Amino acid sequence: MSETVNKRIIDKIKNSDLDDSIKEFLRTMLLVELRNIEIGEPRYTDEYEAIINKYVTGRRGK
Amino acid sequence: MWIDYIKLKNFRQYKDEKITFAPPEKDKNFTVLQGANGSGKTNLVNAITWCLYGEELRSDKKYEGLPIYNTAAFEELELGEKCEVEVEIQMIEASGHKMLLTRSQEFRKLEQLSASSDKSTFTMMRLLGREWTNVIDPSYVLSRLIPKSIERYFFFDGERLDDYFKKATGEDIKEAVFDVSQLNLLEKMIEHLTKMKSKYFSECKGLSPLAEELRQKLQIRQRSLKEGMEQLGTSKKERDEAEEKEEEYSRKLKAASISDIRKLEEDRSQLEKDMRTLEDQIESYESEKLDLLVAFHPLVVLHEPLFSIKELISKRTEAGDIPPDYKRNFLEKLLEKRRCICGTDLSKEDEHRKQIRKAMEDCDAISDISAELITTNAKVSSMLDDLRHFQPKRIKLGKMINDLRKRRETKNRQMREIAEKIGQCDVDQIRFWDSKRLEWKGVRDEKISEIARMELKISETKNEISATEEALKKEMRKQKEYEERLEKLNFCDKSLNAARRVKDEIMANVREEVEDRTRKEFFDLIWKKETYRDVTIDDNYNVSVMHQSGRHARGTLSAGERQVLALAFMAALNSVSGFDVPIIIDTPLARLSSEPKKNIAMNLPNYLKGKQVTLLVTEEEYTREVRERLANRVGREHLISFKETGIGNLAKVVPL
Repeated sequence: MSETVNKRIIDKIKNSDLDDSIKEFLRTMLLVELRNIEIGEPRYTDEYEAIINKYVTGRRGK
Repeated sequence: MWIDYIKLKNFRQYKDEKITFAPPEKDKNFTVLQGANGSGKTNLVNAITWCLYGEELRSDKKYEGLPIYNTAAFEELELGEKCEVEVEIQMIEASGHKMLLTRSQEFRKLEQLSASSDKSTFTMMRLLGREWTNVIDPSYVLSRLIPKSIERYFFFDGERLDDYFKKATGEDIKEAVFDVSQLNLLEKMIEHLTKMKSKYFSECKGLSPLAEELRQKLQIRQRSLKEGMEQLGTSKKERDEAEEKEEEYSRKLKAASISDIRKLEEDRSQLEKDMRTLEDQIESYESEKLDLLVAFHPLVVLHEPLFSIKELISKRTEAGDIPPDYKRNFLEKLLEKRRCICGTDLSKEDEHRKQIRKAMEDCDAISDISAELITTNAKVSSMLDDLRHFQPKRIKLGKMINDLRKRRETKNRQMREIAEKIGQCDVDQIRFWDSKRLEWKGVRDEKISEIARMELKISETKNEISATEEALKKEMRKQKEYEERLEKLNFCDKSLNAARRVKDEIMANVREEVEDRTRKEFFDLIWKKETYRDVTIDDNYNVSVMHQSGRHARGTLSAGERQVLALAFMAALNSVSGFDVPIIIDTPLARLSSEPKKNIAMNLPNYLKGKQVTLLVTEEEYTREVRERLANRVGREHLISFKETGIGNLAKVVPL
């Protein structure tokens, strides 16, 4: 399937000097925002909470 | 991604048509559909948006308010029969995978111009290998490929392009750039991360951990308990030592018959106490005896005369002198009333009155004295009676005083005996031992009190420790939550900073790229290359066209020039876009006079190389010159022929 988020943004994140987990998190959140914008999903908090939890727990485990 | 073909069935004027498009990868990436006004060019764009989003997004006044089904096909139906409207688009992704998007809707004929319908259905199939596979959530997948919010930058109306730069503000242009470059996603993410950060910050503040403070308190209390326990141990040892010492001296005293000595001492002490009590009692009774003697002394002295008076009165009473026969005042009242109690009249100076007067004279002499004697007799009798109690009382008190004196003498004698016995022992040694025993007993008693206080203090400290531990456990749980929140807060903060950095950098790049690309496309398309010096887009996305003279010329651009600027900007948007979507321009040259039209057409082949471009043009737009200019880039050319019938319009698409 085609790139769903602008390759320019994805590349910028990929080539930055950020932590891998932050890079991955930003990519995930961009997809969440893409879906939210297109399907008009206004409730972001729960989804953000769940994803932040996942990443924070993941970082803790390392 | 590009459109391979579109099939239209019963959609508006298209009864059953299939239109194929030129692929983008070859030089001939243009598809031209030529048709007269009202032939169905705009409805072809509407067919695409209806298929993708379930609604027509371009207005066509001719068809406003009319149902989307083909009226000619509907007319042929019998009442109750169905007419199916269907638009099928086959697209090919950059990877070469085919994708079939289909939307259909059935309309049941009720009356001549009336129909009922269910909601339209949308399906998406992808060709994987040789198998067509249904996509489970086609709307969602489509929303990620061609979001509705950006379709207007890919399927646009050329006739309105020049309006775009008449009305568009910097904000509008920025929004367009953000939409197609998806910087809006980063903006939304930053907005949401900021809110999440704020949420975690508030939660952290709410949790405000006291665990460290409690831990310190607990340590102090535990240290205090430890010290208390050590002191208790020391005190218990000291108590045991004191008990041992006491026991030791006690044993010594026992060995030296000290118990007898102490008994003697105790007896002597008791005797001394008893002696003091006896002395007090003796003094008290003697005082009572003295009071008795003082009280009865006059009666004792006057005993004889009183007795004589008593006898004298007794004799006179026995002689009948006391009491007298009449009382004088009684007789006086009879005389005053002049009538005797027997009824005899005494009003006259007769014998009766005389007798009463005589009786009065007789009683005069003794009557008064005898009355006094009666009273005196009673008093004397009482005194003599009292005197009879005196002697027994006096004797009793004397006896009691004697008894007490005897007891005092006995006690005195016992004390003398005790002193004699004690005098026979080694009193100093025993006294020393005894004092030591008492001293250690004191120490032991003091230690017992001290231990009791310590045990109470230790018990309190243990309770405090227990309560502090409980509070600490709670606080630890809160602290765990706090640390988790803090971790999330930090993660949010880092992500937020990263997102802002990415956004700022991309924004700067995108703006520059849009500016460069707009400038390039503008000067590629514009025929007055010497008239304008530059096209710029500032940080606020205000687009300026600079005249060679140095003035801003955007406000004075002709319609054709504005069209060129808009086409250039759309191309620039496309270059920064995150979406691989084909471009469809409806009537791109309609408002232009022949010269600019020719000029644009001359440069149009250089426009959007490598992109599938579809132009929907009228015959007036697609002039011979234009056609010739574009010829090398056009891969497909169709003519939309149009026929008005009595029962509706019909469009036919044929190769041009």
